[in-house]
Amino acid sequence: MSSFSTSEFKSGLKVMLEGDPCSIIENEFVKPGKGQAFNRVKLRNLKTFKILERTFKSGDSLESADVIDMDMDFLYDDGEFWYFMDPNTFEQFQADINVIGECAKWLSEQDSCVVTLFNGNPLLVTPPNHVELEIVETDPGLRGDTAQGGTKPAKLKTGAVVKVPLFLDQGDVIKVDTRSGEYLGRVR
Amino acid sequence: MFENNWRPQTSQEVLVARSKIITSIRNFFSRNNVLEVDLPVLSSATVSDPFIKSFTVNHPLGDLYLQSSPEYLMKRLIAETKRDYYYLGKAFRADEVGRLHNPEFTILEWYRCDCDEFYLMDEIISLIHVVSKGRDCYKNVTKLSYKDCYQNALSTDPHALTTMELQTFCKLKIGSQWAESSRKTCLDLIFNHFIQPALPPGVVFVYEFPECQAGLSKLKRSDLGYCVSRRFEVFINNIEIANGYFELNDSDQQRERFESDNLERREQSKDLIQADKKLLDALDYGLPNCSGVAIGVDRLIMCLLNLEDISAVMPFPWMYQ
Repeated sequence: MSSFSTSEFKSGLKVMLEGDPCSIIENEFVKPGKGQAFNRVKLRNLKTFKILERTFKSGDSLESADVIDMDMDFLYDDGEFWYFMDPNTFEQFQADINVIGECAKWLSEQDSCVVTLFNGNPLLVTPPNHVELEIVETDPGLRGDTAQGGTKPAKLKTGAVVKVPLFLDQGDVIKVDTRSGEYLGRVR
Repeated sequence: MFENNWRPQTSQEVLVARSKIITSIRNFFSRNNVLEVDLPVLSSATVSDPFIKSFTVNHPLGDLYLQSSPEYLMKRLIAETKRDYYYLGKAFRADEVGRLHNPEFTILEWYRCDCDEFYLMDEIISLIHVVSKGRDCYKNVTKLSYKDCYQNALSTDPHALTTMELQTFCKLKIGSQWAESSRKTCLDLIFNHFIQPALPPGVVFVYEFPECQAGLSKLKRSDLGYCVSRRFEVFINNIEIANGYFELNDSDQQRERFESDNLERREQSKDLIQADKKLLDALDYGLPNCSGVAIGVDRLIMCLLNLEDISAVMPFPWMYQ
């Protein structure tokens, strides 16, 4: 297994820290006027998503983490596992709720997502930035009220609840930004 | 394939601003009767500081070193001529690359004979006033002793703490890999993590560094009876830009510092550096009482132009040469 020295640390590099795969966010080389050099490094733990700060001796190294991002199609879920397929090799992968997390509320079958694999197993699933989903539950729409501000909660077919303008109705299909959970527009 | 790497990395505006700052520095010293001196960057001797690595240049008559600062040569010059000089030119430190470091950089170093470190601090304030064109943010000047900085940020007196107490603090607050660090390194770690972020904005002078961080400065007894060094550093908005000394001019003490640096080097399995005999001879001949300071010019320019990265003020930074 290869390793990286502090001088090679750069944003996006995947390394092992205290047993967990992490992604380096920032690496600051510090050399006090008359003292020993060190590196102050910010990392994101890819399992917990927590941001960590560590100070390394310059020249220390960390093992690389076998982490890759792959485009995959979401196939279906059986309540316990979510199944994905690599469209090139047709290889299938299953992810449990710990891996899926918040992503579950955005996924429809056939969606293309990014599945991050750690040692060949799904570590995290990133939904498409924009998804189109049908409203399954919301207060009746106030037709014609397109100019006024004001929002109401709407439940989407995948379970997510987003704030939508008042004129929308059950059965409408809307576009949502999965990163912010924001309503972007009506599709039909 | 067409590559873009040949291009300079700075804008025209930055180059013009940089050139104006350099000119104003030269004018400042010319007005103040400090003579510019051009010194070799290659010398057969180099610093013994265990944490500075010099570039070595092979030559059939013996290895030469690219100078990490013009200090030794300037002291030899002053011992002979007893007058004030400045050097504005290149200096080199291998292995130092980062947002605030470039292995080849521009250094401004000057010496004032028969002046102590406090005189020099005031002269630095005047210089900063000139190069910042009197901008308000640089008029905000604070002078703090090293002890006061610790007192303000952590309510503790660094000189009174034992090395073991410092190590325990570093282990708990910074990381277990630092538990065995030297007193010097512990103090630096704590300073960088906890003290520096708490320094006031503007220009800050920190003086009376601990004895173990004396560098090449004289020592003295502080008001509380601790032995402290007559070394100071300058920070602009928390970025270290200069280091100065009331210079050690006692050849015996200088010899001891060379020896203790080499002891540290041996402990860290680093190459030993031969004491610079010519510097020792010059001190024996007689270096007047003087203060000297070195400013990282690229960093200073970076601060003055409100830039975040030293490479932004260098047309051809490291790996783009």
